[in-house]
Amino acid sequence: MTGFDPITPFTLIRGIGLAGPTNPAIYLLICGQGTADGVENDLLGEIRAQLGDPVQAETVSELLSRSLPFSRDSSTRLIRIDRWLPDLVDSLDKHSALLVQDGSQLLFLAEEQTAEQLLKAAPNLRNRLAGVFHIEPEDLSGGGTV
Amino acid sequence: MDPIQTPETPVFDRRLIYRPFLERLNPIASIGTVVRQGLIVTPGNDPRDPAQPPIHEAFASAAEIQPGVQMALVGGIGSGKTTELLLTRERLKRYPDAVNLLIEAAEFTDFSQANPGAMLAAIGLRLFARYCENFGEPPEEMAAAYKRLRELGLGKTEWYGHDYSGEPSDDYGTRVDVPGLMKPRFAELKGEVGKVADLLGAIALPFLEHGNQVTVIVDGLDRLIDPARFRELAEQDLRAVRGMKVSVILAAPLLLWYDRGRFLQDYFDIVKHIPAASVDPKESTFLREILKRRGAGDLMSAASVNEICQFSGGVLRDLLSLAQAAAQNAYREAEDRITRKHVQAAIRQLGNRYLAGIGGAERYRIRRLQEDSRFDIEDSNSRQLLVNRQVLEYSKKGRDYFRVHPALAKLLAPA
Repeated sequence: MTGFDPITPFTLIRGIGLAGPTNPAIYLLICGQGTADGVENDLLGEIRAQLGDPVQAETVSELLSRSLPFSRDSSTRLIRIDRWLPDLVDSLDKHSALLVQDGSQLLFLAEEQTAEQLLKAAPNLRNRLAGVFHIEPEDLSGGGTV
Repeated sequence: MDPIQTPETPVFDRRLIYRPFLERLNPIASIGTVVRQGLIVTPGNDPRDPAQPPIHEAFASAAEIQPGVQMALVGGIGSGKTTELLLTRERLKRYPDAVNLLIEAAEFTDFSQANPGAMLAAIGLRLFARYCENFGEPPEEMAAAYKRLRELGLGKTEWYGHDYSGEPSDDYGTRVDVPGLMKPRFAELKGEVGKVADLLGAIALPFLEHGNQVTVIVDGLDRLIDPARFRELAEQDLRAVRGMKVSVILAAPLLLWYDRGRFLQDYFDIVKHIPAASVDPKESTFLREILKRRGAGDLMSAASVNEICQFSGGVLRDLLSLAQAAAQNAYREAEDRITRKHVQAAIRQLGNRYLAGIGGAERYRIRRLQEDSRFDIEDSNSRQLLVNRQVLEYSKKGRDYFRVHPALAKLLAPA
């Protein structure tokens, strides 16, 4: 799946900060294979640094095993879609209107294939996304080579 | 010479330009906030028939003069159904005796199964709460009906073997949960619909005896998508409400509009459809007015506004998404105005979303629609394209037709 604009955690969170912490938004972030951990760490760091907010990070497997709704004590939630769960995605789609009703930001992080499945299977959610981006870990090398 | 920077020199903060604009453009902002900020552009007429009053006006008038009328609103994702329902509720407030309930379907269903009776129960519980809010202490019969409805729906907890004498005791008895017919969000009520309807009737009666005009607006059932499931969920409940003088307005799935069984048209007293809005400025200025109301004119040229309108395809949420994405693109590039390249990037981003998941079968149908204007709504792939908004439905002078979403068409066009 190509064509989505690349973005770094820094730039994404700067954009969220611009819109304001109470401006609800849902993003789908597509990461390369094997980069999810790095991206997640960068995102968490940027959220704390730029937004100064508590952040809740979970995988869909964890969400499902707890069978609990999202906690309401953080304004930013990062959900990593670590495996394809059609029922959960269906439920997210049906309840998409309620996901960020409290004015929070919800970031879905998925690898390419899962992201494509999500976009296809969840039209209500897709229509409510503030953005879909290819997210890449921050390049801290300054462009140099070792 | 460069100006001298001192700590007192005001620092230019670009966020102050974009932040209010982005807040006004948020396509998923709470609809209540949007109304409070005066950002709603009220449609001037029925989108399918310019000679008819706007949908919210037609719905409100019908509820006022025909108590018990049942109405349905269909439209694709992001077409503005929730806004119309909210406008209807606002219109209904013109009479002080009006009791209007706006219920989100997620309150009474998890959408995973049809659950006849659940909608009635939700209406009953909300009506009771409204009575207490408006009039205070409820009549005895009403309170009893409410209690029974709660028990039926949500279950109850009883303690057996407990010493109720009030004496301290180590024995707290055995807790017995009597499961209700509803889980916290309404589980199985099938087989109890008649009973639930009677209880709802008992709760509604004091309102009707006071001469109140009761209207229930249910949003979100359109997300069921599958027409059969909507029918199953709605049919029994709606039938039970008929004759109660309680008017009902529901958002229904778009595919029901095209259903051969004609359930919508046969069952409901009034059915309204919101097609994608016209993008032709000669036909309608509706889309431009929406962007203007949200301040687009301050940050982009008229040409950019027109381009966003055109590539939204007339889908209202896409209109706002495009303007929002264009603004974010401009901010990221540290520019003070939104230019054509930012709009173009936003259009490409939107088109890519619609492109995801499109396979050979869908491409074939899209090509056929583009080349020969052929689109078979009975075909399952075509219906999926319509539900997913990759294909949009329009109406002009009573004639319905389909077009590929322009943001997607632009991506698919040969370079």
